[in-house]
Amino acid sequence: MLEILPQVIWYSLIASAIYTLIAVGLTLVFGILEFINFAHGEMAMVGAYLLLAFLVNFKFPFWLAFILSFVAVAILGIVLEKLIFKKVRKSHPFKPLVISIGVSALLQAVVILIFGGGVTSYLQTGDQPAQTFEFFNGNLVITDHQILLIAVAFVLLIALALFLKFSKTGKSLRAVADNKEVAAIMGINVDRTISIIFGLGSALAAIGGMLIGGEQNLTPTMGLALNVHAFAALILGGVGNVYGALLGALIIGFSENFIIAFTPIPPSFREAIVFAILILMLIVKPNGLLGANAEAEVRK
Amino acid sequence: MLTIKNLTAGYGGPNILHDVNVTIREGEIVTIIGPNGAGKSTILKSIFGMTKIEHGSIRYFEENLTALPTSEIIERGICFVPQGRSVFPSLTVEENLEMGAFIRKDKKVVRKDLHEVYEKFPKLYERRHQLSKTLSGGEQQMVSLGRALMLQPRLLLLDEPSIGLAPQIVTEVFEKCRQIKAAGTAILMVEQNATLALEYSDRGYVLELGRNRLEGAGKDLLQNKQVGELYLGK
Repeated sequence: MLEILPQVIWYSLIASAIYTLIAVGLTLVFGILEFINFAHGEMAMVGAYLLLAFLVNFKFPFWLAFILSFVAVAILGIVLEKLIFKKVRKSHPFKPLVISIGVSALLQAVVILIFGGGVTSYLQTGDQPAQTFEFFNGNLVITDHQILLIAVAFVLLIALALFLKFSKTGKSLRAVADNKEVAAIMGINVDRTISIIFGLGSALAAIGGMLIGGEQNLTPTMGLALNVHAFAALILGGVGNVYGALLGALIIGFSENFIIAFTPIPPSFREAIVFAILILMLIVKPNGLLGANAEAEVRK
Repeated sequence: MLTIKNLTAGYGGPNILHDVNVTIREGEIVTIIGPNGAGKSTILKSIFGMTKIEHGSIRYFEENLTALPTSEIIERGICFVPQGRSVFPSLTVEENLEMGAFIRKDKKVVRKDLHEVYEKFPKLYERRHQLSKTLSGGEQQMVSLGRALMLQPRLLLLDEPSIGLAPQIVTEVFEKCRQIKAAGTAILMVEQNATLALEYSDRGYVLELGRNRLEGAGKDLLQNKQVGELYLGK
């Protein structure tokens, strides 16, 4: 039993890294606009498919295809906000939430129209298999792509944390999340800030989608499952908090992989496990591990 | 320096202000008092372009402010301290102050501004790395004031600076206002705590149901029988 432990830990880390990349965008948008964007997972899906198109159909070199894909998705995120979510910014958060479900379905439909509804993959017949490295007498096998995945996620999250903490724009993002009206009084352009949030969050999700696309097959509905995990991560960690998203993603990533590896629960129950953790959390600590005490906030 | 003339404004629904006139000269503290819902805060918000103005004008040194975006109003030397706990709670004291100088491009100048605000508020320097939400109400109000002073404004707008504060802290806030005035910044404020505010004011306006009711020197209004009965609880 124990000999598979290193491998399970490694897979848990990979899952956590992907969930974090997607959850931070979700949590940043929630921090400012107070709605859960159900189309956010679609940014990962569209990113993954764009990379496929650039790599396989257009035969672009990897780095060019990678950059083009996440830039395109960042623009997509900004355009969706300007065109759709901005119109309902002052409504009850329920409205943008429902609209985001519609946007999600729309993006899936567009991808199905272009790429077909089936399963596809970056690995085409004739491609060389990934380079692998073995540790612990072969009990831990990791591929070069997985190392890249962890490294990219790690660097991006550190960069995001530094950006939010130290840059002027990062500080203004946090100020807008705290209080839009007062931020506007300081001369901060709130519309521009929200565009930055959508662009940044969408780009990170797209990168998450492209990285997971190298591990699994692509399907037009992959964004939904990713968003469910990211959503659970941020509820767990506390909404509107980037570090909470990271903590939540680690808990979700580790617990689902450990439960599937070490209990008789089959892998097809993956989503069920996530929801079970989520429901448990909502009962025990509804504000999340790092979340502010909502009651105290209301009383202020 | 600032002249509000025949201002009729609201928030899209029925108008809240009707033909309001307010003038403020350089180096003055002017207070607007009046019952709840008289539209006092609406006057300040109108200066910052946060209301729908039906007619009337807001002139600042012969320039019309009503068409300007917020950043340009700040650039001209007007800063606004909104009502209540207006600090950014999850930002540190220093980050809050930096946001006060958001429109400044030059980082070195911002450092200098920070230094000057810390000189005026030594307590904020001690707590500069603390999250603002961990501060007391009075300290938070000082952060808001300090933040508005980052750009060394010529005119400071204060919306209910004493609200929710303990009495001795309220005096402290008004003492700060006196110092700010002495340093050359004019203040236009809106206050519930009319007695104390008028004591610190050069002039005052009494607003009722969105209309000018009375105006005069701060001391005169304090002794005015009508004002005393209506708003000062005498």
